[in-house]
Formats: sequence, structure tokens, C-alpha cells
Amino acid sequence: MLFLDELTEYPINLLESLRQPLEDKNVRIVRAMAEYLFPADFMLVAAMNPCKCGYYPDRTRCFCTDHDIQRFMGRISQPIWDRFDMTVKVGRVDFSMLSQDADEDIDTHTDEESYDDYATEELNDNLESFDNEKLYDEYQRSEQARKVELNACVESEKCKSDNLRKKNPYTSANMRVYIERARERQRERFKGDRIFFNSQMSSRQVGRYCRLGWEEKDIMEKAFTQLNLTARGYEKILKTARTIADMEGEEDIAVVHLAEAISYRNNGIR
Amino acid sequence: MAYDRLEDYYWYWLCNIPGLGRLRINRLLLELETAKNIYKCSDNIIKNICDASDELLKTIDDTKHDSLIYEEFLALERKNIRFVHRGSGDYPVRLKNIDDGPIGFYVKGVLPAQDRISAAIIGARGCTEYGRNTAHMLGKELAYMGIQVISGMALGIDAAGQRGCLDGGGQSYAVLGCGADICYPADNIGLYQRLCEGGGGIISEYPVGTRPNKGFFPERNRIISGLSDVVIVVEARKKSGSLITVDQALEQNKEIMAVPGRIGDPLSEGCNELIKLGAMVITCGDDIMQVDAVRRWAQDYLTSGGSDISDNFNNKKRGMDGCDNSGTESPSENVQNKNSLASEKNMVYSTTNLYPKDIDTIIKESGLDMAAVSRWLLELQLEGRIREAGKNCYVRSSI
Repeated sequence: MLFLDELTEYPINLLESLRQPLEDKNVRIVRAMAEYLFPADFMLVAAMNPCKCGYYPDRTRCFCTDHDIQRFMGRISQPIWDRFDMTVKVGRVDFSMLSQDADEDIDTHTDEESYDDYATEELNDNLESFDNEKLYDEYQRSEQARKVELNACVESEKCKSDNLRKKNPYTSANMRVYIERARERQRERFKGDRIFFNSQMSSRQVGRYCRLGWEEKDIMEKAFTQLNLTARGYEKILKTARTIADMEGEEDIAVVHLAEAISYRNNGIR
Repeated sequence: MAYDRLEDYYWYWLCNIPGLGRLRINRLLLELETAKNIYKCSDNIIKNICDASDELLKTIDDTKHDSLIYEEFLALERKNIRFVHRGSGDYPVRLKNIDDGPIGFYVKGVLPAQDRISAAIIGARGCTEYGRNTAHMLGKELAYMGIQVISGMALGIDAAGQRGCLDGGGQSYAVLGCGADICYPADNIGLYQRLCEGGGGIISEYPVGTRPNKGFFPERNRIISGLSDVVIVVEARKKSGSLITVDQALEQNKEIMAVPGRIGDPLSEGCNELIKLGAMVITCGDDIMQVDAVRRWAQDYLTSGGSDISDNFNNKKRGMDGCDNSGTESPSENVQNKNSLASEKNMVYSTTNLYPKDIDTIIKESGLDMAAVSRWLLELQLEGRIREAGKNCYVRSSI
């Protein structure tokens, strides 16, 4: 996992050079004699402020000029934004949260990264990625053990989950259940394919596994034109929506999943 | 060269002598009346009238033989820019009536119509979304009423007001602090082009090609207020450039209107201060009828068969009667909104307002969960009722 704090402070050409490894999962260096291919399968997580003072778009407190904000946000090009699966605005932390006991199981958002007003993350739908099958086997074995232990928990959680969602659904324990569930589904789904996670799907696989109903298609069509989505963005939304649906244990992608996935996009908003 | 063109050239020459300021030119004109006379008269007379230094006299003499000025003058036509001066027949009467009006200025497009009311919409560059929307709404409503909008094409309120006017099918005019052929700020290039295409114009006192300069902006403000009958301030901080325009407008005896804001809101302090000092309150386009001159004009116009305008008046009445409830925002009112939305969608919509609100707050206030909120936000967005002002911060797209 690669975490870049204060994304806007990095040199622009450095950020742009991340494009290829983000897309191909490798770094390719071509010299006169040979071509080298370095594996670079990583998850990019980044954090940044919305403007110099950090208050934008609250104009009563943000004194930055439009030009300042454009220059600040302009450091990150649209193609880079396009490669992020999810971008999330992180609100200010209020005092009650700060003073909370550290041992208490609080919201997953309150680790150190939430001190940034604005966090951007590419969540490759998973916490780890695997390069070869050996590793995968090993992983599966360890997972097997965890699964048995978790299964009981998952089963009981499943029936409770609806109630839980209404209370405080986003505790670390709950999130873990959701993520486990999503991973389980993805493992099932990609049994015959040589991939493990939604994020690794090819366009053909997206077509196969992310089928949309007519209502969903309609909303995506509108969103595509009105929100100026790119082809890459469109596919990423489908993948993210697939993962959200997986986390909720849904078979089909529904409008709510798409809507949530779209809200994670960054379509050239300053 | 035709007589008129020659006359134009004399004036152009007069306005383009380096080192000869407006003050001196005014003094010369007072004595000699026309640019031609100044061109023809001897150094001694000029020296006597405006005690010019020998250096300045030499410059004046040099410029008479400088072909560059003449070439520039001829090049204006190719750039579709017209030079209007005090001797021109269509020099705006409004500018004649103010102290210190420009000797000559450059126009790309057309000049504001003399027989129509024009209003300036001005305010902060770094404005809130609320201010932007308000300016846009006012511009649009004024356009419906056949009123021209004058402003400085600056970022923020200025541009929003002018865009609103164009969106309402009206004519808008920008007075710039740089050459009329330069779009400053460059971000507003779209607006710059629309202004000319929409039957409006770009006006500048500064010669073609002049780069923007800090000192030019307070100066151009006097032309903004000079060309308008009413000056509307939408959002201004306590110390704002807009207040300079207001001062000048007061000196020029123009009406001032201000959009009221909440106490303690830094971007409304300037406006509230103006209201305290006696500015009229404006919360919708119709409020401009408080101004006597506008009321008289509207009556004349309607009776003298300005049919296009009267149609627009009626359209306005039919199309947008958001005047009564524009400011207030209680949830119950929104539920009864004529736009029949599904109730959850309505709840989400009613939590949004004219200030950007982030999704967490919307979730908290609506009591719905993330999935539902993002779904309705998306739909509202696709319908164009709200838009994303910043990452995950939503704001209503109109009042």
C-alpha cells in the first residue's frame, strides 16, 4: 500500500508518473538493450486539503481566491483523479471525538488520517493483493482458519445487520463483517477466473459480473452524460458499485449502489 | 479619410499621449473644446492652459508624427473594436452626467441602450455559493424585466450576475480594467464571448492591449456605476472593492441597493452596513421597482408598447414567482412545494440550501442512511436541482 499524505505537495511529474503503474500494475523501463518489467501492484491511498487554508467550500471562513484554489487543486490532473476509485471528504473532527478514550471501539474514520480535512483513497476493494497462486494458496489456508472462526459471527451478524445498520453500522467490528462477506463473494465469483477481486476485473468481466437492470442503465446513461464521466470512470463506478453490493450481500447492483459509487467519483470538482 | 474618421483620430490621439492624464486633458478641453483644436494649437497655448513641462510638450509634438498611433487606430477596426469619445454622437449620456467621465473609451460589441434602465450587479470575488446563486437569480430576473446588467466581469458575483442576465435573454455589459481585447480574468473567456454574442458589449477605458493593472480597477469602477442607474451589491466584506464602486455611485447620485445577509456572516457585513446607511433592500428582481426612475421607466415602456418587455413581464410572473418565499426555508414549506417529489427525495432536498453542505451533515439532518441519501442526491443532481460545489458538498442550483 502506498500512502501519500498531502498529495498536492508532491511534484506534478512524480504524480503523473504513477499513471502507468496504477493502470498496468507494473513499471516498464525500456532501454536500448532490453526492456525491464518491475511488478508494482499496490494500492494508492492519499490525503489532501481542499485548499490552502482547508476550509473550502465554506466561503465564510475560506479566504483563498478562486485562482488559489484552482492552482491548488490543479496540481492533480483529471486523469489522476480518474484513477481513484473512491474519493471521500473527511469532515472536521469535533472535540468529543478527540477526547474519546483511545481503547474504545470508535468509528473507523477516526484513525490518524481523519485529521486531514480531505482524504482521497483508492480502495482496491481489498486490503491485500496477490501476485501468484502460491501466495494465494497460502492466503487461502490462513483464511480458512479465520473463516471458521468468523462464520458463526457472520451468520449471527447477517440477521442482525439490518438492525445494526440503523444504529451505528460503521464500527470496526461491523465493517470487518461486511468486508469479509464481500471477499467471500468475490472469491466465489472469480473461481474460474485468474483474479480474486472486483478491482482486477477486465472490461469483459465487468460486462459479465456487473449486469444492470433497465432502471440502473437509465441512471448510468444520464450520469455519464451529465456528470462528464470517462470510459474509465464508468467502469470504475461499476466495479465500486459491485463491491458495495457485495458488502451488503446483494446479488444485483441496484440504483443505491451506483449512486453511492458515483458519489465517490471526483469529476473535476475544484 | 472621411471627416468623421479624422475627428475620431484626433480624439484617439488625445487619449494616447503618454504622460498626459485625464486631468490635463479635461483642462485643455474646457478651453479648446475639441481634440482637433488641441491637435492644431501651438505649444505655447497648451503650456499656458495646463502648465505642461517641456518634456511633455515634446512628447505631444512627437506623437503627432508618430505613425504607430495612427496604425493602432486603424487596427482597431480589424479587431472589431470601436473607439467612442466625447465628440461621438453615441457617447453615453449617463457618462456625460458624471464628473470625471472618460474622455474616450473602447467598445467591443455595442454600447448600453440609452433608453433602457441599466443596473450594476457587483460584489465580492471570493463569494459564497449563496451569493453566486443570488447574483445569478437577480441578473436573470432583471433580464426578464428588460433591464441591462453592467458589471466588471470579475470572478464571483460580477460574473454570476452577468451570466444570469444572459441566461435570462438580456443584454449585459462588462467594464474591464484592461484592454477591451483582453479577457481578464482568463477563466471568464466563455462569458467574455457570450457577452458580445448576446448583444452586449465589453467596455474599457484603456487602450487595446493594455494588461490589467491593480490601479485600473478602482478607476473602471466609476464607469460601472456611471453607466448604471442602480447599483446592486450582492455580497461584500467589510472592506471590499465593491464599496469603492458604491462610494463613486453615491457621488454620481445613483441608487444603491444591497442584498441583506445574516449578522456575523463576513461576506454580508458590507451589505448590511450599506443597508444601515440607507441603501435599499433587494431580495428579488421586482424590488428594483422601489427606485423611482425604474418605476417611471417601466410604466412608460409598458404603455408605449414595448411589447417584448411586457411579454417578458408576464412570463416572469408565470414562470418564476419565487419571490415571496425565496429567503425562508422551513422544511414544512418545502414539503408543500409544488414540485411533487417523492417524500424521501424531498427530505434530502429540504436539507440542502444555498450554502454547500457536506454529505455527512445531510445524512444526519435527513435521518436517512448513506445509501438512500446518495441515491437521492444523485437524482437531484441529474435533475439539475442541486450540484456538487466541492467534494461531497452539495448546494441548490437555484433559489
